[in-house]
Amino acid sequence: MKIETKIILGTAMFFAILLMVGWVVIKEESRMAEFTTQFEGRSLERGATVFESNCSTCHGRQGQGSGRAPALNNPRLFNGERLAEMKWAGGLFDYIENAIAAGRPNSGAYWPEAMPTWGQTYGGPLRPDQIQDLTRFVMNWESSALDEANPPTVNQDFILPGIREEGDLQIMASGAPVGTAVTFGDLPAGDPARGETLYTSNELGCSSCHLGGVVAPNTVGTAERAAQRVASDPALAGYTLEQYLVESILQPNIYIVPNEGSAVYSAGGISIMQQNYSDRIDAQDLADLVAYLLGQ
Amino acid sequence: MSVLPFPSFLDDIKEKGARRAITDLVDETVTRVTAGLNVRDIREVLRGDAPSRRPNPRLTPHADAFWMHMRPSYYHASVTGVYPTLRLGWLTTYFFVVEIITGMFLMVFYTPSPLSAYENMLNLLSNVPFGQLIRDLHRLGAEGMVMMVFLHMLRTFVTGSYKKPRQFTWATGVILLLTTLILSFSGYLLPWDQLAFWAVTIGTSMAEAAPPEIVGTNVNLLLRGAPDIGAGGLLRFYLLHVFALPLITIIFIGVHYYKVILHGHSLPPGEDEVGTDTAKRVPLDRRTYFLPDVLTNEVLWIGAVTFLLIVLTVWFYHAPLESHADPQVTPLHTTAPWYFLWLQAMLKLGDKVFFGLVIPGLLFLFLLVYPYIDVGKSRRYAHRRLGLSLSMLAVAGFVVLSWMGSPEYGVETSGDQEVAQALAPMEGVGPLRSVPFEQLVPGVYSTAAMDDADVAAALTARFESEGRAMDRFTVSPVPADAPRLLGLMEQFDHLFDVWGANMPNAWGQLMIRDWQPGLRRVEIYIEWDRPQIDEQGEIIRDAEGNIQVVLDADGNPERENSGKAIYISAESGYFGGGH
Ligand code: HEC
Ligand code: HEC
Ligand code: HEM
Repeated sequence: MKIETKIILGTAMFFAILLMVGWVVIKEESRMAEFTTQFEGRSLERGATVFESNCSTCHGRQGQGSGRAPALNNPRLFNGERLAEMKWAGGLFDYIENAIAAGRPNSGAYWPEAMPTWGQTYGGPLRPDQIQDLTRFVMNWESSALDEANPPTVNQDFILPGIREEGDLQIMASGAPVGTAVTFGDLPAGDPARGETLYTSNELGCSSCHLGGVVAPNTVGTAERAAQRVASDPALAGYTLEQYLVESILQPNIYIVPNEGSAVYSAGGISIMQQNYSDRIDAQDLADLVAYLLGQ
Repeated sequence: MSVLPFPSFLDDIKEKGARRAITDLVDETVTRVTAGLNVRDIREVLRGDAPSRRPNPRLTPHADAFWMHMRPSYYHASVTGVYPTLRLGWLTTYFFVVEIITGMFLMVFYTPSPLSAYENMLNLLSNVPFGQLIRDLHRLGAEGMVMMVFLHMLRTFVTGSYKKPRQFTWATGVILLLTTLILSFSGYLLPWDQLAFWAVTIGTSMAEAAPPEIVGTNVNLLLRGAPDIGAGGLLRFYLLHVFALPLITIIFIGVHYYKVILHGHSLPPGEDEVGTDTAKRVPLDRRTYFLPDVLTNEVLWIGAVTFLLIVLTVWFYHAPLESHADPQVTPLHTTAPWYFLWLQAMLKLGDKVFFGLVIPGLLFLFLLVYPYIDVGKSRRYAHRRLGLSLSMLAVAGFVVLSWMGSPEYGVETSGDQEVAQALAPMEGVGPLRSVPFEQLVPGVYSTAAMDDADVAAALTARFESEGRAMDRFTVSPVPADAPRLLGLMEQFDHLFDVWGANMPNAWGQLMIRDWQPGLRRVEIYIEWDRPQIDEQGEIIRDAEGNIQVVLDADGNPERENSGKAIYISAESGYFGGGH
C-alpha cells in the first residue's frame, strides 16, 4: 500500500472514531437516564421477591398486614400521618429504609413478635442493596394506597406503644394467664360479644389473620369446619368441638389445619399462628373467644 | 555575544535574520523531539521518498530514543506482510495497551470492597459519562487479548517459529499465556456480581483441592484471604489484577520481544535452507525500514482495530452485569469463562486433583519445554506432519472439551427446573421477561389451551370437578392482542419436547397477576404424572421403555408439580433490549 493511501485511510479512520465518540456523547445523557429507570424497575422486582420470602408471613403477601405486623399499603404511611405520629423529621424513603434495616427490636413489647433487624449493617441477614430493593418495593404502594376511589384493603393498622384510650379493653384482667393445661370444662361462662371485641382487637389481632381466609382459615365458618374436622379426622378422635377450639388457640401446633390451595398455614410442622396466647389471655378471655367462635 | 552561557535566540535573529532564526529553531526542536529527524527528513518519510542525507537520519532514533530503540530499524521484507505473523503478536500487545488505558479509567471509579464494588459498577453505568463505553472496551479488550494470545501461539507453532534459536522466546510466551489467562480471570471477580462470584468460587476451589491437604488449604487461604471468598479475596484479586499480574506481564513482554528482535522475526518456513536461520542476515534489497513503512502500517492497524472495537462496543457488545453476588444463592448453571471451559470439562471427567490440577499442570510444563523436545531441524510444513497434526488435534480437543464444559453437556438436572429456567432464567432476561409488559395480561394461561376459548373453558370445568383452588385454575385463552404472550406459551409447550422426557403428560401454565402499580407477578406452574422410582433413584420403565407412573387409590396417575414465581416491572425495559 502506498504511504499516501495509508495516511488518507488512517486519517479517515481517526475521524470515523471521533464521529462515533461524538454519537456516544449525544446519547450518553439519555442512556444513563434510561439505565437508572431500568435499574429501579429491576430493583422493584428483586424487592418483591425478597418481600415474598422474608416479610409476607407477618405483613401479608400484598402488604395488607396481619395480627403479627401492621399493613404497609396503609394510606397513613404515605399521607404523612405515620411520620408525624412517629415524630420522624426526614423523608419517607429514609423512614422505611431505616425501619427495615434497623428493625424495631423493642416492638415485641406491643406486638406478638418484634419487627426483626434486617440490615447487615445492624447485624441482620440482608445486604444494603437488598434493603434498598425492599424500600423501593414498599414505596411503590404509594399510588394505590392513596387512591381514594379504590382504597386498599388494610387488615391491620399501626399500633403506638403505651397509649391506651379511654374504655380500652382489659385483656387478662385477672392477671393470671390461662396456661396450656386448661380444658374447656374448667372455663367460666363465655360472652360472645366481648369475645368478638377481643378477636378483632389490635392487641390479640386474631381477625387480621383470620379475616377473609388468606393467611389463616376464614373466621366465617369456623364452628362448622371445626365440627367436621373433629368428626372426620382420626387425629382428633375423642375431642369435643370446644376442646378443639381451646387447643387451637393455646397450642396451635398440636393439630395444624392442612394448607388449602395457595394458602400456606404452616411450615415444617410449625403453625404461622402465634404460640404465646396462653401467656397473653386469662381464662375469661379464652371462654369469651371460644363463645364467639362457636357462633361463627 | 550574549552574556548567557548559551547563544540566545535574539543573538540568532541579529545574526541570521528573524525568518531564518525561527526555521532553525523549529528544525532544532523537531530534531530533538524525534531524536534525529528534522522537518525535511519527516517530510521525506511521509512522502515515501528516499532519505536525502547521509548517514541515513532515519536510523538515529532507533539508537537514541527510548521507545524507538526497542524497535528494529528495518525488517526482512518477507515478514512485514500479513503472512507469516498474521499480526497476532502485535494485536495481543495492542489489546494489552487498550486494557491498561481503559483499566486506569475504571480504577478511578472503583473501590475493591464487597460493600461498594457492585454499586460502583451501577454508578459507572448510570452516572459516569462514557462509563459504559470504557467498561465495554475493557471487557471486550480482555476477551480479544485472550483470543489473540491463543491464536498467536497457534501461529508460531504452525510456522515452526518456536524452533532453534527461538526456544526461549516460546517459553516466555507460555508464561505470557498463563499471565494473560490469570489476568483476565482475576478481573472477573471485580464487579462482584453473581457471575463473578461463582465463577471465581469454582476456580479457586481447584486450588483448594491441591494435595496434600495442608498445601491446598493454605493456597486457598492465601488466594481468598479466608475460607470463603469475601472482602479479603476481593482485595487480593484486585491487587493481582491491577498490580502484580500486569507487572509480571510487562516484564515478560519485554523479555519476549527482546528475544524476538534479537533473533529476528522468523522467515516464512519455506525461505530458509533446512537447518539454517537467516532472519538476521537481511540483504540490502530485502530491507523494509521501520520509518516509514512499518510505522505507518502500525498506525493504520491501530486505527482500523480501534474503529472496529468502538463499533462493537457502541452498538453490539455490552459487558454483562448480573445481580449482586450472593453466597446463599447458587445460580442454576455456573460456567467458567469460555477460555476455561475446557478445564470445567476436565473436572466433569473425574477426580478434581487429577483432572483439575495434575493434567493442566503437566500440559503447561509440556508446552513450556516443547521446543526443547521437538528438535527436528526443518520448519517446512511438509516435514512436520506429526507436529502439525498434533496441533490440529489439540485445537479439536480444545473445542470438544469446551463444549463438554458448557452446561448443556452431562449435567443432571430435573426437566421442570430446566423448563422454568429456560423461560425465566435466574440471571439475564429470557423469553418471559422479553414479552412487553402490556402483553402480560393478568390471567391464567395453560399450554393445554393456548388461545382456544372452548378448550380453556373445558379445562377450567375439569379443574373445578377435581376440587382445585379456582383462583389459580380458572384458565383463560391468551387474548388476541397479546401475540408475544401466545408466542411465549408456544415456546413453553415446546420446552416439554426438549426437557420433558421424564415427565409424562406434562403441561404448564402461567398465572399473571397485578401485584402493585406497574408490577406484575408471574408464576410458572408445571404438572406431570409422577414416575415410579426404584431404590437407586432411577425411573422404572416397562419393556417398551415407557415410564411407569405412580397410581392413586382410584387407579389415576398421581400428579407431581413444581412452580416458580418472578416479578416483572413495567420499567425494567427487558423488552427494549436492555441487558
Ligand atoms: C416477625 C414478623 C415480622 C416480619 C417477618 C417483618 N416485619 Fe416488619 N414489622 C413487624 C412489626 C411487629 C412492625 C411494627 C413495629 C412497630 O410498630 O414499631 C413492623 C414494622 C415494619 C415497618 C415500619 C412500619 C411503621 O411505620 O412502623 C416496615 C417498613 C416493615 N416492617 C417492613 C418489613 C419488611 C420489608 C420485612 C421483610 C424484610 C418485614 N417488615 C418483616 C413485624 C415483622
Ligand atoms: C399470625 C396469624 C394468626 C393469628 C394472629 C391468629 N391465628 Fe388462628 N390460625 C392461624 C393459622 C395459620 C391457622 C391454621 C393452622 C393451625 O391449625 O394452626 C390458625 C388456626 C386457628 C384455629 C383453627 C381453625 C380451623 O379452621 O380449624 C382457630 C380456632 C384459631 N386459629 C383461632 C385464633 C384466635 C382466637 C386468635 C386470636 C387469639 C388467632 N387464631 C390468631 C393464624 C393466626
Ligand atoms: C501477552 C502475550 C504475548 C505477546 C504480547 C506477544 C508478542 C509477540 C510479538 C509482538 C511477536 C512478534 C511477531 C508477531 O507479531 O507474531 C512475538 C513473537 C513470538 N511469540 Fe509472542 N507474544 C505473546 C505470547 C506468546 C505465546 C503465548 C507464545 C507461545 C507459547 C508466543 C511465542 C512467540 C514466538 C515463538 C515468537 C517468534 C515468532 C517469530 O519469530 O516468527 N508468544 N510475540
